[in-house]
Amino acid sequence: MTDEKKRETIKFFIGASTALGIGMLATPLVASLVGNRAAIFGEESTSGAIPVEICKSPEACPREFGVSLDELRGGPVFKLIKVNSMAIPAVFGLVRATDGREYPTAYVAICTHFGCPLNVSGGKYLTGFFCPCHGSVFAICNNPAGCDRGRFLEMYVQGGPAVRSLRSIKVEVKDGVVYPLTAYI
Amino acid sequence: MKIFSRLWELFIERFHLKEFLEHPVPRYSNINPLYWFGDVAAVSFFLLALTGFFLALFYTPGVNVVTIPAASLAPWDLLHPPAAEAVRATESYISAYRIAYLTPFGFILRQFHLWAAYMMIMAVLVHFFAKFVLGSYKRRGGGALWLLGVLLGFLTINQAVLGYILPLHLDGILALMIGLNLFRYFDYLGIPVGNAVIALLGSNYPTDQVIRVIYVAHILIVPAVILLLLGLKIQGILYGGVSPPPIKNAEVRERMVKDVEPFYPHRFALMVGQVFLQISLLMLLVAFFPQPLLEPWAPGELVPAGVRPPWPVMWYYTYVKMIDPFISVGMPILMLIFALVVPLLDRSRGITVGERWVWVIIALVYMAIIGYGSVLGFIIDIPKQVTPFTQITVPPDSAVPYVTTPSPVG
Amino acid sequence: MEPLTPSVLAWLTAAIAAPTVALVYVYNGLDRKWSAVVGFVGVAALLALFAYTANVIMALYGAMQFPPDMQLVELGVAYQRVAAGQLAAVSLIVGLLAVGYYMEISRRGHE
Repeated sequence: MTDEKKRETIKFFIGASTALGIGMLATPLVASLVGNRAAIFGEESTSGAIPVEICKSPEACPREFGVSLDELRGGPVFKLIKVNSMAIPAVFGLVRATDGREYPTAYVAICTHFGCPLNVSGGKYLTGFFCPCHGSVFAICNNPAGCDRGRFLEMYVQGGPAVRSLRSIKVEVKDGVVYPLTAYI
Repeated sequence: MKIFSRLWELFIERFHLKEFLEHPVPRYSNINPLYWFGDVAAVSFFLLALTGFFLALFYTPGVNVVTIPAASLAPWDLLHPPAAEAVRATESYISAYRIAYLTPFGFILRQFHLWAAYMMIMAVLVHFFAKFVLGSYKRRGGGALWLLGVLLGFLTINQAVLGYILPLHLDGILALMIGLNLFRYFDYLGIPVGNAVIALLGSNYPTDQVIRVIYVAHILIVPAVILLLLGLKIQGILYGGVSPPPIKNAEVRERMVKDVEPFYPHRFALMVGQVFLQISLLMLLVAFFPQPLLEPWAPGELVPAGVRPPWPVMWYYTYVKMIDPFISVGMPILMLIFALVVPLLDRSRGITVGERWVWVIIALVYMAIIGYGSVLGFIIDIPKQVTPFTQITVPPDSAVPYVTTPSPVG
Repeated sequence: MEPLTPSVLAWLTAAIAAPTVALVYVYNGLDRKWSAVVGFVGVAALLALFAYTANVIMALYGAMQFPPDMQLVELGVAYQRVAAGQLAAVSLIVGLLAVGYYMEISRRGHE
């Protein structure tokens, strides 16, 4: 009798651990097959990205968080922004759009593949990022009408193992200074 | 001379140590190498604790950036020659640099700690393999020892990675950043790992607080847990004895188990010998194969290509690179769970390697997974193209679109 | 007086350690009393050499500043590697003696 019970318990444990294993392997596969890329643009969900408010408004933002446009005209600028206990590695840059105008932007310089720090590519204007660890290449979509692989000013994956666009920082310009407002880390 | 031995006898008698010191231990486990490596790992742990104590006295955790002249960096530490006259480094790197190059005997201390860590990991792997082959979890109290051992192995690998991060050299910072962000693949399955990391450590990018947490974990919390589990494990071995020899003939096996000798002075002398031989091997490695401190890095600096993870996790890194991360990131968790339930699955009654061939093959597969991944990671550059798998696995809401379109300025 | 260079010290260490280890190993199988005598003489000589090396190292690091002169660092590393080699030789001899002692008492008890 007890032997029978023991056997049942062991069967249950083996079954449960097998199911857990198969489930862990299958969940992402199924999830990936059900969803498709077109849905990205459907809603403004930020699953996987944690919004962190840096400043409520440009007026409430300390000057050392901001980067002046004059400085940005010389090339992208790296700034380590410290909010509460957090450090956010931000790269500010000017993007030259296909309509000929310049747009101030900022991105979190952490690769969305493994989390390595990113190197900036581009000279005077910010054109993209390159990951030294596994070679992911991120490029800016600079067409105001949107691009094949991303929306306007989205730092989309151009190549390499990364699967999603770079996390961005919402910015606003005041008195010739670009201030970060909300970072999606 | 005689008075000393009389004094010793008196001491043994009055403190009632005779029974404890002279408890019988079997001989076969002294001779068969399958029984050696648990001891090697344990002794490595105590050598690590000893050297780690002195290293902790000299080390300062911190990510504040310090500028040092490029000429004061040792050429063997650099992956690429520095481009500028001055190099930016973190406070942690400077303190590791001071230990390695500016403190008398600091070089020996750091190298010894490093090599002892490497030896401990190797010994743990061999020990795991040996106990798998012997089926040690089937003896009295063996299941509990198996669970403790798997947890100890997991903690050992953790310690290796935490210790690798602490000097905050370029590779250490990359390891830290990967560690803080890699498991966020679970975010996309609805498990909020990213939030958990920020709640626990305060940031997903290196800050003073993150380094302090890692420092305390490396020198205090994880070693304390290891020590506790190790104590339980030694108690378990005293309770159940060492696992029986892998001999098919019951009569011979019985005879080998009965062939005992007292712990003191027999086994004790052997253990003293083991400790000194181990120290000797480690010191020889320090003298002949000192390892570089690696180059400094500070946030915002250009990252040179060609960095690699520490070898104890190289296999994992290789598989995550090779296979789609959505599938492979959780792989060590599966391996850990499987290792934990091995005593449940293995119900064969065999003792010898020949009778246990299925489990020996499973053990070999385990070792092959780890060995193949490690070797592959070191010898070839795994292609980094987008695989069909990777393209499919973009979750619908993965990309963070630019939230507002900023106004043009020119 | 100039201290001995690291390579001279390394050769001296090897010259003492190699024959001592060989003799201890051989005598372990023949007569443990002699292996102990040879071992302790060798250990004493190596420890004396280590004391000398340690003195040189302490003197060298007394002059160290931050940021350091790279040549001084390289010299310090060389001396410390020699010191590690001396400690390795000492531990090897002690370890061999202990294992030899175990093998003898174990064999004696077994017969």
